[in-house]
Amino acid sequence: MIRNSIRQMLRTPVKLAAFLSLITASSFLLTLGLNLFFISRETQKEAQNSFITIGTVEQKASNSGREALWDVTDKDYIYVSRKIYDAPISDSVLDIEGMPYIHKPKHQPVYGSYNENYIVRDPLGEVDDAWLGNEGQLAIVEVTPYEDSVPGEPVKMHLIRGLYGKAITDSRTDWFWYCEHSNPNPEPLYAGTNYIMVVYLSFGKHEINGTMTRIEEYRPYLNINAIRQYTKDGTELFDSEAPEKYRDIVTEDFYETEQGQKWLAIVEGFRFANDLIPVIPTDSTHLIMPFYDGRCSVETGRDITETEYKEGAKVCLISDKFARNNGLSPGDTLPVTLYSSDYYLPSIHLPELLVNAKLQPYEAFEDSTYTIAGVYRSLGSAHTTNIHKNAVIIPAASVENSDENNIILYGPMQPYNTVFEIENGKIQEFMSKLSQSGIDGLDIRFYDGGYTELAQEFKNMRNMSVILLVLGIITTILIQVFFCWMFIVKQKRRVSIERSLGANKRKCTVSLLAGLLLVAALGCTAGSISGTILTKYTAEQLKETELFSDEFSTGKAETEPVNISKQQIQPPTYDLPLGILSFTVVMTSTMILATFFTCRVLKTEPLKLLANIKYER
Amino acid sequence: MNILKLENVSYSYQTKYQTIEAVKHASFTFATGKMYAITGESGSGKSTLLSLMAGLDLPSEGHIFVNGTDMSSLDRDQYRCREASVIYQAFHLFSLLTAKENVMFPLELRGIPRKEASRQAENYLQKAGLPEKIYRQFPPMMSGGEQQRVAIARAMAAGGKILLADEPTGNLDTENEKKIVELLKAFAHEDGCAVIVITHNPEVAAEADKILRMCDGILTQIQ
Repeated sequence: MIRNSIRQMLRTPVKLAAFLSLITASSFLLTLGLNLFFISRETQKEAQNSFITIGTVEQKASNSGREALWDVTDKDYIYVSRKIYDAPISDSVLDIEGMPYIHKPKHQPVYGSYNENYIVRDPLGEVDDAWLGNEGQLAIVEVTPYEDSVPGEPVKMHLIRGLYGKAITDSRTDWFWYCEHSNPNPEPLYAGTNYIMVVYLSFGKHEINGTMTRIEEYRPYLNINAIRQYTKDGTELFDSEAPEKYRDIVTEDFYETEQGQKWLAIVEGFRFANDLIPVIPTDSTHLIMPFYDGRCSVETGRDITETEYKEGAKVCLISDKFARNNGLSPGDTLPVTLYSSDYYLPSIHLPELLVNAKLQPYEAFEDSTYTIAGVYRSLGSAHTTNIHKNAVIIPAASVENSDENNIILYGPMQPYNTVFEIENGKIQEFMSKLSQSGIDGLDIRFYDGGYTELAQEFKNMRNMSVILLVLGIITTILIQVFFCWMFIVKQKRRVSIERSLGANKRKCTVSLLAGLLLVAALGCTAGSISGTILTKYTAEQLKETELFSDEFSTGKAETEPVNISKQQIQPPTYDLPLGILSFTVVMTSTMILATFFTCRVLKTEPLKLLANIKYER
Repeated sequence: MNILKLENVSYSYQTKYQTIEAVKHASFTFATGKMYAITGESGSGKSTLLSLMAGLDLPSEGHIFVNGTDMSSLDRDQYRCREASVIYQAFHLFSLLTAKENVMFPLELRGIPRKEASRQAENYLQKAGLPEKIYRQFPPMMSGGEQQRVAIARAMAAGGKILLADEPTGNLDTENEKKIVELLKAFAHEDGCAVIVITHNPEVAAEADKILRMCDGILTQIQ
C-alpha cells in the first residue's frame, strides 16, 4: 500500500512539486519566524540586563542675577552673573506613585571622613607641609600694619606669626601687602594693633610711587560671622545678615578668651579639613555618573553587590591612588569617621574648613570600619571625572546615624548629587507621570546607554518576526488544508475502489497518508534546514552589527567628550531546537489534518462512496 | 454448489426529501459455475442489489448468506478481498497505476509477494486477451474494451468465486462486448465461479444461464 501510495503521488509531478515547494516555503517561513521571534525576545531580555537607565535631577535656577563686586583698582563695581535658586526642592517630590523606579531619586551628600592615619596626598609627588592651606594660597596670620591703612589702598603688614599655611610663614620676608580689594568701605587698620585674620594670596594692580604696579597681595578670606551650617532641610544655621567680620584684634591673653578660642578652632578646622577624604554614599555604583559612563571602573576586587547596598553592608570601594598611598587592597579594612556632610558640591570640592556656625569643631556623627570590596580606577583627571582622587564609595544605607548636625553646605539638587534609576524603556512613562504630577522647576536628564533606540529596533524586529510567524502559520494551514483536500478528499474514487477490492480502513489510511506525509516530511526538513541556515546567517550578521554605542543616547552627546562605553549584545541562537520545533509543528499539524480528512472520507460506506462517484461521474 | 443466498433482502435509504426502498424482499440463491444476468430499468435497484452482494453495505432487512454464513457476521473487507470481485461499467481502475499494477493490487492486498504478484498479474492479463504492450500503460491511455479487460483480469486475480459485474459492456462496442461476455462465460464455466451480471442489454442477458429481473426493487426470475 505504501509503495502504491508513493507511486501514485510521484505520478502527479505538478501537484507533487507544488505541494513540496509550498510546504517547504511554509516550513521555512515558520522556522525563520520562530527563530527571529525568539532571538528578538531573548536579545531584548539580554539587553534589559545589560543596559541601565539612569536619570539626573537638577533644580532649575529661578533667575539669574548680577552680583556687584567692588574693584579697588578701577574704583568701581564689577558685576558677575550668578544663578539664583528658590528654596531647595526636596527629592521627595519625585516620590510619585507608579513611577518605574529601581532606585528612587535621593539628594545624596558627600561626607568627609578624617583619620590621622590616612595618607591623603601622594608622598612622592607633593610636599605635605607646603600644600597646607588651600594649595599654599591661604593662611591664618597674626599681623600688624606698619602704618595706619588708607581705605582702598594696600597696606604693608608685618607678619607676627603664622598660625596656618606654611607657604606664607616659610617665605623669606616678614612682611606682605594686604588689601581689602573687594570692600568698598574697609575699616581702617591701625599701626601698633595686632590683628588675626585669614588671608589668601592674589594679585592686584595699585598705584605705587606714581605708577600702576602689579603686586602680590593678600586679601581677607573668611567672614567668621558667616561660617556656613545647615539643617537637614537646608535651613541656614548662621546669620547671613550679620555684619561681615574678617578679623579680630589680638590682645594679651586673647587666645584665652571665647573669641580667641574660636580662632584657634578655625585654625584646627583648617588643619583638620586638609586631611579629609570624601566619602560618597550611594544606592548603586552605577548611580555615580563616572561609573555609569565607564570613566571609572572597578579594577581589582569586586563591585559592591546590590544586596550589600540594600542591606547597608560595611563595604566600600576605594580609588587606586588612595589604595596605593595607603597600601590597601581588597579585603583590607578602612576606618571611616564622618565629620561633614555636603549637599551642594561634588566630591572634588572638599571643605577647607571644618567648624560649625558657632565656630566650634564638628563631632563625628559616624564611626565605622569598612571592608574594602574593590579598588576602582579613573580614566582621566578628577576634573573630567568629577570624582576626587581619594573618594571612597559606600552603601548609603550603611550610614546608621543622621548627619543633621554636620551639614556644612546645602544647595539645590544637581546632576552629580541626585541620580536615580528606572526600568529600561520607561523614560516616556516617567516623563508622562512627572508631567501629570504638575511638578515644576526640575530638569530631568536621562542616560540609557542607547537603549531607547535599541528598543525600537527590537520592536521592529519583533513585529517582523511576528508577521513572518503568523504568515508562516496561516500559509502552512492553508497549504495543508488545500493539499489534504487534493490528496485525500479528492481521492474518494481511489478509496472506493480500494475498499471494493477488499482493502480495510487501516490499509486505505496508509494508502492515503503514506505519500502525503513522506512529501510533507521532505518539505518540512528542507524548509526547517533552510530556515535554520538563514537564521544562523542573520544571527551572525547581528553579532557583527549589534555593537551599540551609547554616544547618541539621550543627553549623552551633550556631555563633554568621554571614552564612550560600548554595549555588545550577543543574540542567543536557538536555531537547531527551533528548526526541530518548526518541523514537528508542521508535521504534527499535517498529520492531524490529514487524519481528520481521512477519517471523514473513510466514514462513508463504500456503497455510498461508489454511488457518489456514479453521481459525480 | 450454492455460494450466495439472498433471503428476503430489503434495502432502503434516506434522501433529503424521502425514503427510497431500493430493494424489496429479494430472495434468490446463486451457484458456482453459472452465469446470471439481472436486468431491469434504470433505478429499479439492480446496482444496489449488486453492492449488497459485494458486501459494500448491509441489507436493511433480511440476510445474505455466503457459503452458508450470514454476511453480517463476516469481515466484509475480507469477503471482498477473498470471495467476491466486482467489475463496473466505469471500469474503476486506478488511473495512476499501470494495467499490470492494477491487477497486482488485489494480489498484494492478499499478501502475495511482489515478484509472484507480478508474474500472476501478467498471466491474468494474458488470459484476458491483452497484449504485452498494454501492461505498462495507464488506463486513460487504453480503449474502453482494454480497460474492461484489465478490470476483469483484476477480478480474476482477486481469486474469489463470486464475480459481480455491473453493466460490464455498457461502454463498449459490439465487438468488445462479445469478447467481454466470452470472458465472463469462461470465468463461470471454466473457472467455476458464480458470475452475476447486471445488464440492460438483452443480448448479454441471453448469454446467461439464468436471467433475473428487477422491477421497482422486486427481484424475479424470468428464465
